[in-house]
Parts: sequence; structure tokens; C-alpha cells
Amino acid sequence: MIKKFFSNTLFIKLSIGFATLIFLFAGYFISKLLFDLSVFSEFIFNFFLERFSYNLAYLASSIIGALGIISFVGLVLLIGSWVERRVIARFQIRVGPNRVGPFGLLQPLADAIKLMQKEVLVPDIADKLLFLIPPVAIFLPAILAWGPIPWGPNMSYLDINVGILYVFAVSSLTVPIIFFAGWSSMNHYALLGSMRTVAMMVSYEIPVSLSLLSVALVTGTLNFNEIVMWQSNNSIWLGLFIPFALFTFFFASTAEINRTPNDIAEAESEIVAGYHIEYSGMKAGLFMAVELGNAVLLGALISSLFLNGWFLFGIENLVPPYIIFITKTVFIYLLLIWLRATFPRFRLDQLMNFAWKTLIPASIIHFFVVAIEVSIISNFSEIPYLIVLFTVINISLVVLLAYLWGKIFHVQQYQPEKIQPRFAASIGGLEAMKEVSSID
Amino acid sequence: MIEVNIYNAAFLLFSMITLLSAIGVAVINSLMRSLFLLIISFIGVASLFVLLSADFIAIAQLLIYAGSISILLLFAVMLTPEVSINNQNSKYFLFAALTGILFTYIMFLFISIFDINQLTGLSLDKLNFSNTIDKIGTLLLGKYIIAFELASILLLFALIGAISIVRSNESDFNIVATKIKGKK
Repeated sequence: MIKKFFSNTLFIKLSIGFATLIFLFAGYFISKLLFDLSVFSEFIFNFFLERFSYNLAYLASSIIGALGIISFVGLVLLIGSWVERRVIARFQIRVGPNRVGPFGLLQPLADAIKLMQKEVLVPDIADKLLFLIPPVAIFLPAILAWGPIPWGPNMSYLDINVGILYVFAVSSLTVPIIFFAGWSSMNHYALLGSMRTVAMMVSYEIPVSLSLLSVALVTGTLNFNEIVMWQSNNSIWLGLFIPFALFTFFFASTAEINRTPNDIAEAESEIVAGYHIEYSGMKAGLFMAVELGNAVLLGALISSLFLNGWFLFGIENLVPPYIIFITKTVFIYLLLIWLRATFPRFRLDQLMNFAWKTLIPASIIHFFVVAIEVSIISNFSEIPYLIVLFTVINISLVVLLAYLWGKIFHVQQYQPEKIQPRFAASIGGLEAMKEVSSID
Repeated sequence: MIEVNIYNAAFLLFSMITLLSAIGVAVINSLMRSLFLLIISFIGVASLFVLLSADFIAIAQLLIYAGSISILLLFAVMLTPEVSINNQNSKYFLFAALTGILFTYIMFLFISIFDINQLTGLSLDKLNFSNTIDKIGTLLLGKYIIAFELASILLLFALIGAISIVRSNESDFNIVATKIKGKK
């Protein structure tokens, strides 16, 4: 009787439902308890201030905040590669890594241990000192750029007035590091790969800066917190108000961080592995890890600049705001994985042409349009719903421009050539071979 | 005497980084290594600006010098493959040393006028001068608009000049095409 009851499907469903309820309640109370993580650093600051001096308190609280950010980035680096491989496997109708640990969750750890065990080769003619620095130094911009990201109310590590400029400046430090990585290897492929990467990153910094400039123009500030507050005060997402800036930022940033549609830094078919061909073992792993961390950083930047940060239609009062922020970040990261699973890679000349001939002029014109709109909004502030009107106009303009761009310029539909079915029909035949060769 | 606080400790650290890497730039034979040290000293100067709570200038230093000028220098050094690894000692060593000593003496005269304790970020905090970027923006587009516009016109000329130098004519293509055909 009891055995029969336990094997009942209704019992299993009930118990699963009950467990979910308990989990939700526990999650709710824990989230109430940990609603604002900034209390920890405040507590440590006050603790040290009462017992020791101001300087020590400042140092201790800043170290705690930095450790929080670094631990988040480290967690992302650990779990991100698993997420990426599993999701891409789903796209390609595979299973993905599922052997190490539950659901293959320990796969990144196994990978890291394997990479650490590998022998680190240093080329004989390489510049030994400069060869050792880049894999470590490339982490500095990737982690420093997390500084002004607003995780929630009261929760940004560097609440500075030049936030956007700071992120832009710090991320531009990656360029010389990548160059040194390629040059010090003393390998033609590495040097060519690093030169390509430097050329691409330098040219894609311009559209990134222009799109961020239009964000600063609309909100009237460079502070991340104030940008998020502007979006919540006007109850509009900047990604909807200036969708072209969002597109420009997203596309150009994928070129900056070497993600797939634009990852010509490591186009295996053209240059073997790009600037990190000579790096082996954990050093190559560090380059890969930075790539992944940069992708998540791009998600954080987009979600705070364009997707209203930690606000989500009033849910931020129930759930801790940083959870909402991380959810948006992970959403953008999944979008990047989707892009990687879907699109082929651009060629170098296509990318550079697109940057200099399409993206930069278009974003300059877009900047003028946004400037006109902002001046109209600030001059006629008594008219309601002006922002909504311009949002609709901007979205429809972008859709129209994308349609026209595809229609007028070189986007052609794929048409199979005429000889293909004939060749397939008579494959292996001598007659068919003669026919095919006579066509040419 | 310098006070012991976190600003002055950071100042000592950053100025040491800046000065040591700047000395390394002049001393080291390999041009690429000295360029790397030059970038580090640029970053050190940027952090010194941060200590002076000049946030915009610090970011501009990072963005323009460490991010862009360094790339320009890298490309310039790439054009000198002979000397980039093992640079020989210059025969103008004496003149360079004399100029350096003279410049250091003049700079020392300037610096010795000021009191170091008056120039830290703490003294600027007392003036309630926390936000520089608004003031710089209003000054650039208000009082100094002519200088700003002239600088932007100069940059535009430089951009157009670079494009007109690099831009390839159709005749160049034809020359290249005939050369390739001739080889075949």
C-alpha cells in the first residue's frame, strides 16, 4: 500500500510542487536578507573606522568591493565556458560536455587542470620578457572595466562622473597588449594576426565611441548610475529610444572583443590561431578566458546603458536588483552565443569596409539626428509623449534603413548555379565530366 | 615634511612606477621593451592625475596616450626592424645627457617653488571641486569655442590628408594588374 502510494505519479508531482514552494519561500527570504550587498562594505568601513584610521577603513572597504567584483568575474569565467559549450551543442543538435560531474558542470575545472598540466613552451627566438607579460596583463582591462558598472542602487564600485569614458579608455589598453603578444612570439602568423586585430580594433573604436556619445547626448551625463536613473525617470529604455546606437555598439563591440561574426583575430582558416598561436597550456587558456569575460562585460555594459540596468517594471522591489541586472547580462551573453552558433565569420576586408564605409558615416548621421531630437525634446518639454513619438520614429527609421540597405546594396539572394543538378545527376560519368569542363 | 596618509602613499607608489619606467625607456636597448615601459609610464601619469582629482584629464591621458599614441609609436617602430631588437648605443649620448640634466634642473626649479602638501587631491577636495567634466565641457563650448573649433578643423584636415595620401587611384590598380599579367 505504502509502496504503491510512493510510486504514484501524483505523489511525485505533489512533492515536486511542495519542494518548489519551499525553495521559492527560502529564496524570497534570502533575497530580502541580501537585498543590498553594499551593506557589507559599509559595515567593514564603519568597523575599521571605529577601531583604526580613515585610511585603513578606505583601503579595507575598497579591497572588499574589488574582491566582490573579481569573485563574480571568476565565477563567470568558471561557469561560462560550460554554458557556452552546452548551448552551442544544443544549437548544433549535440549533447555537449556531460560526463564530468552532474550535467558536466565540472568540465571547466577539468579543462583548467588539463591546461595547467600542459607544458608551457616559450619559442627560442621570442622576446622572453614581453612574451610572459601579455597573458597576465590582458586581464587588467577586462577586470578594471567592471568598476563603474551599476549592480543596483548603492552598488557600484566606482561611482565616477566619467564612467563611460573610463570604460572606453581602459578597454582601449587591450590593443597594445594584443600587439605585444603577437610581436614577442616572433612568428609571422602571430604578427600578422595581431596586426589584423589592432587594425580592426582601432577602426571599430570609432563607431563604439560615436554610439556612446549619442547615449551621453541623450542622458546628459557620463555617469552609469545617472544613465540608469534617466531611463527609469523617463520610463523608456535607451535601446528602444536609440536602437541604431544599440546596434552599432553591439556590432562594433563584438569586433572589439573578438566574438564571432567578427572574430578575425583567430580565423583558423586564414591565420592559424591569430596572435596567440605560440602560447600553450594555461597561457592560451588565459586568452580564451579573457575573451569569455569580455563577452559578459559587454552584456553588463549593454544592460546598464541600453536596457535600463537594474530596473524591470517594478520587479526590482521584490527581487534583489543585482539579480535582475545579472539576468539581463546573461541574456545578452546568450544572445552572443546565439550569434556565434548562427553566423559565419566576416572576411577582414568586408569588416573594414563595413566599419569605414557604412558604420562610421551612418553613426555620424545618427548622431546628428539624435542631437536634433534631443534639442526638440528639451525645447518643447511641455508636450507629453514626445520621447515615445521619437522612439517610434527611430525604430521605424532603423527598420526602413535596414530594409533599404539589404535591397539597394550588395545583399543578393543565393541562387544555385545551373550546372549543379546536372553534375549531381550523372556523378562519376565521363560524359558529365566532359560537359562540365566544356562549360568553363 | 610629507604627511602619512593614503594619498601620499599612493602618490609615492605611482610616481615611482612612472619614474622607473621612464628611466627604463631611455636605458633599455630593445625598442619594443622601452615602448612597453613607455605605456606603463603613461598609465602612471594618468594615475597621478587621478590623485589630483582631475578625472577627465586622467581618462584623456589613458585614452589618448596609452591607448592611441602608443599604437602610433608601435607602427613607427615596426618600420625599423634592424634596431627594434638590439639598438646600438648612440654617439650623441653626451648631448642627450647634457640636455636631460638641464631639463631636470629647470623642472626642479619649478617644482621647488610649490609645497607638495598643497598639491594633493585632499586640498582639492576641500575646495569642493569634485566634478571637472561639466566645467571643461562648458568652457570648451563657451569661452574657448574658437580654439576648440580650430583644433577640430585641424584634425579634419589631417583626416582628409591621410585619406588622400592612402587612397589608391584607378591607374595604380591598372599598373599593378599589368605587372601581375606580365609575370604570368
